[in-house]
Amino acid sequence: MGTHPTLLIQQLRRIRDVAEVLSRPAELFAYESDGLTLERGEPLCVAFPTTTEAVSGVVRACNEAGVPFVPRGAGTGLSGGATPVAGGVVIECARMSRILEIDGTNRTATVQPGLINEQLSAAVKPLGLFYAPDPSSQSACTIGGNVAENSGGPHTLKYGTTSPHVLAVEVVLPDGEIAWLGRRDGHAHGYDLRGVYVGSEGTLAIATAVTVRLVPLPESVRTLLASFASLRSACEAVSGIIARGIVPAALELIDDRTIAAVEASVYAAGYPSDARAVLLVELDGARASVERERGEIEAECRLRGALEVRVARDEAERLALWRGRKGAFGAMGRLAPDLYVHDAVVPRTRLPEVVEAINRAALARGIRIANILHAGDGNLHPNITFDRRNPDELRTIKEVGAEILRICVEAGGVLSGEHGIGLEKRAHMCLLFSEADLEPMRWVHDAFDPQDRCNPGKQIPAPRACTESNPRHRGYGQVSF
Amino acid sequence: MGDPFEAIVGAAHVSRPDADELCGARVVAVVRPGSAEELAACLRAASESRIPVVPVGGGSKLGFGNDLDARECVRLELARLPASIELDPDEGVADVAASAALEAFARAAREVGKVSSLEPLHAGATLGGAIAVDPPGLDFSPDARARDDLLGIEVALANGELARAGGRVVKNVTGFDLVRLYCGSLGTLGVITRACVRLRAAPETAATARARFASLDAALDALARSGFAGRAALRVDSGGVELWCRFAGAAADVEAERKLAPGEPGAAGSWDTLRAELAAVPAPGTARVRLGARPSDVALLCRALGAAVRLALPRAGLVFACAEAAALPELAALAERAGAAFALERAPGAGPVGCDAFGAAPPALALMRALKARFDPARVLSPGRFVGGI
Repeated sequence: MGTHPTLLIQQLRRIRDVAEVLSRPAELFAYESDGLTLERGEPLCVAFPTTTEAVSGVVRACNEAGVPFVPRGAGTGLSGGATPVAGGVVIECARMSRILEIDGTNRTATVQPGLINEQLSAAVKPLGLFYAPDPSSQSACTIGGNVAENSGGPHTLKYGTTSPHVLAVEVVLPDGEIAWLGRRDGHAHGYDLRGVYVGSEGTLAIATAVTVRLVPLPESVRTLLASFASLRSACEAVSGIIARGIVPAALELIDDRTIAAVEASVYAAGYPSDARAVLLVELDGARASVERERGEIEAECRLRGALEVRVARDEAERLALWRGRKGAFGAMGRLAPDLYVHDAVVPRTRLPEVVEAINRAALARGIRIANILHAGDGNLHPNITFDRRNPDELRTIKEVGAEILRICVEAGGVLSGEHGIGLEKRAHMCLLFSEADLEPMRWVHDAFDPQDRCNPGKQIPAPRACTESNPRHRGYGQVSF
Repeated sequence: MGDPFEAIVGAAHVSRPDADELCGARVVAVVRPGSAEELAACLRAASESRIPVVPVGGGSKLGFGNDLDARECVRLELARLPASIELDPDEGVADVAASAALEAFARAAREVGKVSSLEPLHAGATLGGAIAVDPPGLDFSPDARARDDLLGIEVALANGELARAGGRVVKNVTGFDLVRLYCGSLGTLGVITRACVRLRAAPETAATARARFASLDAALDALARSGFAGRAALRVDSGGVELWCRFAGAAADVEAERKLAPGEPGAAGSWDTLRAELAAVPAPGTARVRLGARPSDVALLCRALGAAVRLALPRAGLVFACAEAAALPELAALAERAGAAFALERAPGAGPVGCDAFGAAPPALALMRALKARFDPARVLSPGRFVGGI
C-alpha cells in the first residue's frame, strides 16, 4: 500500500465534487453488505462523488494508495455485488442522481447512475414514454445498479432485461480514465464493450452516465389473475401460454405461501386465499392483439384447470394486483428476521418438474420455500426465510441454495436470471462453466482491470478455483445447447 | 506450411491454390475442418505457426471490413462443419450450427410458425457469418436487434479451446455477457461454431404500402405527419423517392396501421425484394456505405450525402449510399463531421479504399486492442480487418 489509510481518507475529502467521505465505524455499518446479508465486509471508507471527474479522482487516489474500490448504488442488490469483501473504498453513486438529457424525438434519456429507476419512467411519462426494465425494487434501486447487474423485472419477458435498453455508458475505468462504451445513437462499431459491461457487476469499471432507450407507452393494457389448485397446473399453464407463441408483457407466478404473506401485509391485493398458486398476466400493445391474446390465455388457463380467471376491471384494480406482487418480498419480512431471495433460470418447458424438485429438496432439509416466479422467462425466485443468528439454519439454507442451483443446471438452466453472481454464486460458476468457458471471461477482466482493483473477489472464479475446490472437476461444461 | 493443418483435418481437406487472394492477402492454403473440434485445433495450429486465418462460411460478407494486415493467410472453409438446425418451438428457442444457411433456418422456423430476428439479408449467408458481422438490414430496429435474441454461443478460440457463453434460456446474467462481445466482432476474437437463438411467433399477417414523393424531405414529412409508427424505408431512384411502410402482426392491427400509413398496398413479396436490393453485391469499383445516427438526423445526413443516397431507414437512424471507391475517404470524413457512424461494404476482392472500413476510430479503441491482445495473442484471427485495424 502506497498511502496510509488516514491520509487516503483526507485526500479523498479534498477531491472536488466529493460531497462526503464517511469513515467512522458506525457510519460504515450500513455499507458492509447489500441486500444479501449472508456475506459482509468492512470498507475503509465511503466516498460520495457527485460528478464523473470526482469518481475519476477517487479511483486515481485509490490506485496511488494501492487500495481496491467498490461501486455502489442503492445497495438493493441480492448477490453481494456491492459488498466490500476486500475492504477498500466504497464509491457510493447515489448522489449522482440527475437526469442529464431527455430526447423525446429519438426516445432516449441520459442519466447519472444514481437516478432511481422509477423516477425515470415518471419523468418521461408526459412524453408518452417509459423505461421498461422494472425490478421489484424499482422505487429504490438505481439505474447504475441496474446496469451493473443487468437487472430484470416482471416486464422483462416482453421488453428484455437492462442490456437491450442501454445504448451507451460513460465509465471511469480502473485506471481513472473516462471513456464511453457504445454510442448514444446505438450505432457503435467495434467490440460491443457496452454489452459486455452491462451485467459485469461493477468489476470492469464504474458507470458515471447511462444513455437508455425509452419505449412508447402501450395503446392498451390488460391484466389477468388466474388461480390454480396446484403449483404444477399453474406451471403447466405457463408452459402452455409460451408454447402458443404468446409473449405477454409479464407472466408471474406466486405460490400459496407468498399469497398468505402478501394478504396479511399492507400490500394485500385480494389474491384468492384458497389457491395453491396464482398467475398474474399482463398483456400490452395494440388493442386487437391484446384482446385476442387475452382470450387465448384465458382458454389456456381453463384448459389447465384454473379455478378462476379474473381480468382487472380498471386501473385501480390493476395497480392493486401489481402492488401485491411487487411488495411480496417486503411482505415476507413478516415471516422471519431474514430472507434469502434465490434466483435461477430454467427452460420454460421444464418449470413444472423443476419447481416440484426444488420444493422437495428444501422440505427434505426441513425448509419451506415461498415461490415467486417470473414464470414466462423461466426465472425462479425460491425465497427462504431464516434467522441468521442461528448457525445451523444458516448452514442449511446455504445447502438448500446450492441444491437449487444443481437442480436448475441439470434441467438445462443457469445460475442467475437477474440478481447476478456476486459473492453468492461465485463458487458455483464451476457448476455451469468449464475452465475453457471461464478463461475468456478472465481475459475480459484483465483487459479492463489488470490490477484487479475494481470490486475484486466477485463474479468470476479465480483460475483453477474449480479444480482446487473439487479436484475431480474437469469442467462440467453444462452450458446446455 | 500446411502440414499442421493436414495433421488435423487430413490431407484430402487441405488444398494449396496457385493464385488465390482473400481480403487482400495471398491464400497459401485452403483448410476445411470437419468438426468444431478440428476447427479449434486449426486455430491453435495457426497461433503456433503465426499464420493468419480468415474463416469463410457462405462467403457473402467478405466485402465487409478492412483488408487483412498480412501478406499471406489460410482460408478456413467452414462448409464441412455440421449445419444442423434444431428447433424447440414450445420453448421458443433454436440450436443452430454456425454453418447452417440462414435462409434454411428462416424456412425451418416458418414451418413451425416462428421467426428469428436474424434477418436473411445476404444470399448464401450462414448463421455464423450473420452473427460475426451483425449487419443491420431492412428490419433493423433499435427496439428489436438481432444481437438481443442470441441466447448462447459456442466459439472456437485461438488457443484451441471450444468455449461456450450464455445458455438456452431467455434470461441470463451468469458471468460476463460474452455473447454480445462475440456478436459483430468479425471473427477477430474467435470463430463461432454454434448458437442458441430465440424464436418468436410468426406474425399473423404482413403487408407493405408504397407511396411516391418528389423528394426525400417530402417523404419524411409525410411519414412524420402520418401517425404511423412502424418500420419505414425510403428508396431513392432516378424518379424520386418511394416511401415503403411495413406492417406485421395481428390482422386487425395491421389493418389499423394501414389506414395510418401513406400510400397504396404493395405486392406481398416486395419487402423481400427491397431487402435483396439492399444486400446486393456492390459493383466493382464502388462500395455501399452505411451511416448511422439518431433518427432525427436522417434528413440532415441525406441532404449531406446528396445523390449518393440509395435507401434510408428513418426510424432506425440508418442511411445507405453508394459511392465510387475514390470518394470513400471524403464520405468517411463527412460522417465524422456529422457525428455519424460509418461502415462500408465492397465487392469481395475489391482493392484498397484509402480509409478505414469503419471510419473514424471509435472511443475506447485502446480497450478493444487490449481485448484482442488477450483473445488472440498471436494475432492470427483475421488481423487488421476490424475497426481501427484490430
